[in-house]
Amino acid sequence: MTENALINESDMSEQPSRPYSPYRDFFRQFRKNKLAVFGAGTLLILSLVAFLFWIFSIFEVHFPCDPTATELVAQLQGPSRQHPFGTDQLGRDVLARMAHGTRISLLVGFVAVGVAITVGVLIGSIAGYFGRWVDPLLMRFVDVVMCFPTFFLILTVVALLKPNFWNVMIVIGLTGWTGTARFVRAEILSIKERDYVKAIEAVGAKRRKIIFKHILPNALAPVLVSATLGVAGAILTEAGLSFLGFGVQPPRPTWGNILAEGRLYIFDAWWLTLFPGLAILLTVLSFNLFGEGLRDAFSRRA
Amino acid sequence: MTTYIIRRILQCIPTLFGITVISFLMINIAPGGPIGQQLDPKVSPAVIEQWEKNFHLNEPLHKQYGLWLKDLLTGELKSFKDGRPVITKILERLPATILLSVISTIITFSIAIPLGVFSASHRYSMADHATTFLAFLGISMPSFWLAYMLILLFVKGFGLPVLGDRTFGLPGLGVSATFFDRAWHLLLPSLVLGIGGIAWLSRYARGSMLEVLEQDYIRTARAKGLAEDEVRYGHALRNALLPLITIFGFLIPSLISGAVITETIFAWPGIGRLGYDAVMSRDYPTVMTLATISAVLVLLGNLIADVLYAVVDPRIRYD
Amino acid sequence: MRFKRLLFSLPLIVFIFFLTAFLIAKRNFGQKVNQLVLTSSGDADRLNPILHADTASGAITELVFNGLIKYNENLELVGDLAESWTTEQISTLYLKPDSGLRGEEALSLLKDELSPEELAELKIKDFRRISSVGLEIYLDTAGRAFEQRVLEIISPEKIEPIKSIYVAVDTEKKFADGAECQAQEMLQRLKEKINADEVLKKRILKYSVERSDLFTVKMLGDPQTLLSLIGSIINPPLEEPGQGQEPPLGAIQRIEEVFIDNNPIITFHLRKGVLWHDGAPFTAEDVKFTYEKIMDEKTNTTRRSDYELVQNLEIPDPYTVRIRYKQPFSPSLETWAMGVIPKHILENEDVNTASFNRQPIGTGPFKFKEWLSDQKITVVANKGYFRGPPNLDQITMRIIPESSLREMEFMVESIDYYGVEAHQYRRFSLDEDFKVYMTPAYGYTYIGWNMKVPLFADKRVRRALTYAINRQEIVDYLLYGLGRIATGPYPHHMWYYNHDVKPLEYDPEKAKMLLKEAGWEDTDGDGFLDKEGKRFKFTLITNNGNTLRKNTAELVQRQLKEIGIEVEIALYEWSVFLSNKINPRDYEACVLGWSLGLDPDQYQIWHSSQAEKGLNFVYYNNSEVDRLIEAGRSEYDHEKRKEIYHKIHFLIAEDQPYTFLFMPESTPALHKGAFRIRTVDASGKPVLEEIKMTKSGLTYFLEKWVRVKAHSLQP
Repeated sequence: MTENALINESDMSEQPSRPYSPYRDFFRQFRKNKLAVFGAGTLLILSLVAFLFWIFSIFEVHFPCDPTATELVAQLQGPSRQHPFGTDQLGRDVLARMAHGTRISLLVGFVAVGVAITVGVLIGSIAGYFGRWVDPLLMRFVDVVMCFPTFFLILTVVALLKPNFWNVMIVIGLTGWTGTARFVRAEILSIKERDYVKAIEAVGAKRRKIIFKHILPNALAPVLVSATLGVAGAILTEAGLSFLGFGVQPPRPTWGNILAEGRLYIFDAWWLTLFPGLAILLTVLSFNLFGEGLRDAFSRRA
Repeated sequence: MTTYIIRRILQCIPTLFGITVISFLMINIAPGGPIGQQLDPKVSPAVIEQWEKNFHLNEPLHKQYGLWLKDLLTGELKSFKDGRPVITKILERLPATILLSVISTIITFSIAIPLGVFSASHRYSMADHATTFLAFLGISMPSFWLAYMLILLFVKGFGLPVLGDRTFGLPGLGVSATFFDRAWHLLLPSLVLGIGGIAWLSRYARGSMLEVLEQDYIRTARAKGLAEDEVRYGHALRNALLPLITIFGFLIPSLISGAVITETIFAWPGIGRLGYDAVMSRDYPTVMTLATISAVLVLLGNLIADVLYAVVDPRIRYD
Repeated sequence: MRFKRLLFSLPLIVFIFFLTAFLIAKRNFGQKVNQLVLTSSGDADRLNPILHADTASGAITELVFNGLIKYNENLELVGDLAESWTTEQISTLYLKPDSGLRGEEALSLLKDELSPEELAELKIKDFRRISSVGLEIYLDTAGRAFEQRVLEIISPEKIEPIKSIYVAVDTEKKFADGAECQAQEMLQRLKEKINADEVLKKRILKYSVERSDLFTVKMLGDPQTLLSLIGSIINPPLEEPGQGQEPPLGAIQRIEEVFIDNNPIITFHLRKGVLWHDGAPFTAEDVKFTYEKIMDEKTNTTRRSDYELVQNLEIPDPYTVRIRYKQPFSPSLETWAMGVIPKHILENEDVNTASFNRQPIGTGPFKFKEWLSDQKITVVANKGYFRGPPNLDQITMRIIPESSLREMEFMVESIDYYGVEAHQYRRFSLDEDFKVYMTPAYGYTYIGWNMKVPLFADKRVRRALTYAINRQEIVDYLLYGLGRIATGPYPHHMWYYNHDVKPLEYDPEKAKMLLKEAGWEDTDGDGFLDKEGKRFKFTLITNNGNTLRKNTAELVQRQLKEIGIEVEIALYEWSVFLSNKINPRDYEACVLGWSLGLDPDQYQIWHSSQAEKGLNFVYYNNSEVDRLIEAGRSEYDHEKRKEIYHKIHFLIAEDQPYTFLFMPESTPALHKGAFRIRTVDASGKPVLEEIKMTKSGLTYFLEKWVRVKAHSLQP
């Protein structure tokens, strides 16, 4: 950390008038990582696209065109001015489908991770803080879930529930919480032993308050990092599920199912495979770079 | 240490029991059944009923579970699909899966570690940024998309078949030609399987190396006037790589858990496809056995990782 | 620094190793042996003709096993393991005791009335008296053509109808004394009671256990006494008075009545000198064994229902098989095309789990060699095949699960036979390297309307839906023109297809009119039809994994929206689709397809008795169609059957229980010039011919195929 420390010092000396702020420090660290900034930028654009097309779909504005409009005479046409990313086997515009798919693909990522983090933090902090018989019980449960072949779990649950897209998201989330749970538990176990927590406890603060006010915020940073990386993972998992026919069901477009369907036409319509593949690659890459940037910035700040 | 290991193994038993019970319940609750998988005008309801009887599916669940456990322990467990012993079915896929895992691990390690070390020793250089970026590209690739792109490249570009574990329809070849033919068919699937690992491991190796390079003893070594290469590859590298040994513990479950998508795409006759087909055709005995074996391996892998960790890092003591 | 060099040369070593592998693989590739490589998406399950249930096993067992008969290239049945066969029939009738007509008189009456010409025309061979009131008529053919004439001579009033009483047993329950409630047990108890009744005993002709939950009793005269006896068994009186009414143990399902009981008999004369692949001779014992294994309840086979009408199978000598049927059943002949399994190997084995299922031994042109699970199955030429050894050295079936990648393997000639998909057809047929064939596939895709759902109970609504669906568009754009609109449940190139049935034209206006008649109109102006305040809306389900069906559903959704019908689409995994949706009938409409056999009998799909448990999951119920289906399967005369099935076709098309969508073409492809058919001409010179499509498919003459320019396979 020698190099960073030096840079920090020089940065600080340039602006002595401004008081130290952890946030500003964090952003400064983050900005230095160009790849992370690139990731963040891409994500911002993608989120904008997703939001924009969500608004479009609410007000039924068909821009650039209706993603569900089948124009059979134009089936399997290559990229052109009218259809920059070509058309699929039903003559639907791939760009329009991908643009609408952005929202669903991102949503899959966020909801899945939301579920995973919520369950993970809840179970991890309960186990970590209450200890005694709760801890081993919950941790055995975590072991059991971890031992399950993820894929088998997802397939069974997807088969069990109706194959709508909320369920796909929830299921992906339900398989990803164990890491967070273990991590949060470990974090709490270590923080619990720290002097300041002991001090608060000695003063007679309530346990719940201690968890939420003092312990969890400390564990927040690493959870945030793993959430960001988790979104990337969830998007990939959805694509994999789509490949096997268990992802979000058409006609609701996701990049995963456009890609999965497109592969049947790989020699006849390469654009059906290339563009959604690149979109997934770019998004997952951005999340990964962004997450890594966060991790770096957090750890350097500490 | 021995007592620790024994205690850990004993702890695994309730976990394992829980896993078998939960997976048994799950597969039985899951809609669809092993019988009547076709809409065949020839299958009359009476035939289906008789089948259910033959497979004990009309018994209550706890009885079915007992039967399964008994058959598993006595090795009598038979697949619903073709009536063969489940163990035989699994054993016959094992070589293909292990071969693929091992080759993919070798490729992963032999590319990732040099890459990570190189990256760490040229920190913040263009080359470091480039490898970092490439590593992330690797992690972010949907594996089936990559597989398709690679297959497209080799089939269209070089006119060589890549599916399966050997070229079919060739006249008898010599030993070396057969060997290299098999090797060739291993390349793409193990690369696709390993790409995420390469990326992740190279990041890990880089971080680990960087951490070690900042240690005091490295500074001491430098201060002693040792050549930089000597410091890095003689002193630092070994210490940086030691923690990686524990990864082998986590590799054990992946030997069998397989990779459904990669195996499906490359027509690779491994465990992953066996499991996938078994889930799809609701072949309960096969699914259950695979779930159990994979759970055993995960637990075993965790144990080995912990033990290796203690062996590698003498500061850690288990009691 | 040694370690540094080692570390950084690792990637290089890996690279060089695989480069070498690539170069060597590249050099060797392109050499071919005299074999045909086929492909399948799933692995075979059991290579046993009586057990298998998937296409891969089917394709291999066809090469390894022979049936008694088979379809030839023109779809006519010809002998295979049987050299020839004859069908005859023994029909029985009984005279009423009070009719004043005795057996002797009836015999002479028949002999006098029927001229020799008429006897020949009706193929009546002989009459025989079996009791003072019973007559047997021997026919040279199976069928009921003679019946009418006989009933003209001996009027029905004088004939005692034969009653068959079908009794269903509830096997879940137990008798009061704890005995299992099985058909066998119940019949035993019934027999005891009947034997105690001297009068009734004489009227009983036959008992038979059909299944564990069904038995029949055939009898003459008034069934009342028997019915009350059966009633006392299936509804046993209470042991202790005062207890609540016990539920019955079974039910009298139905009573059938015929004047003449017809028992068709098929006699197969087997080919002599046929050897199993292990050298043992093939005899009638094997046929009997195969039949008995299929009928064994412990055998997990789907083929049992094919043989349920068999009364018995006898082997008078090692090369003759005689099968007697309980009643005329014209689709029965083709069931003997099923492969015969060897008795000497499976005699003492559990056929479900025998190692035979992995290493089959048959009589066919190819011998089983090797099966690597999920990889390939190889069969090699059987040099001792009874029709002479095949020309190919071996056939391999590779298992490649990804259909889109099969195409790539075909392009690099790593597989030889590829089923071209509709969207690839143009590209392949323009390509100089390939030869694409075309033949209609035996199947069609449809939308089934569940008539238990009030929405689809109205015939006008179903017809309107068909009018509103543009099937030509589906054929043009989803099948890329490779198919045709289906008009009914039969393939258009078969003899039973009625060409007078025309498809309902695409006509949305007519559809709207019909819907208006049925009360559906857009009254609130929201663009959707409604009736009594409810919108015309339904869920169309299909299985996932089938892009064609899914796309069809999407097009239908769009087309129906145009006339104001809201369609939701739901996709289910196949196993869930069947067990949670189709089998419990819990759906509104479904997109599905049937692949059909060659016989037109579709009893399980259209007969109203199959609505609750069979495959008539749309609840189609038309008594006229029921009657015709029953007539069709008991009629042996080709022309009469044709007439019957044309009528069925017409009636079903009228009712539109399905919207019959399309019948696709199947388009297999080979590498141009890779294979030829090699035969020997009259002078003994070998002749090479192009491979041609036959009615039985491209590979019908597979035994004669040979690879051009191939290395011979070293044994």
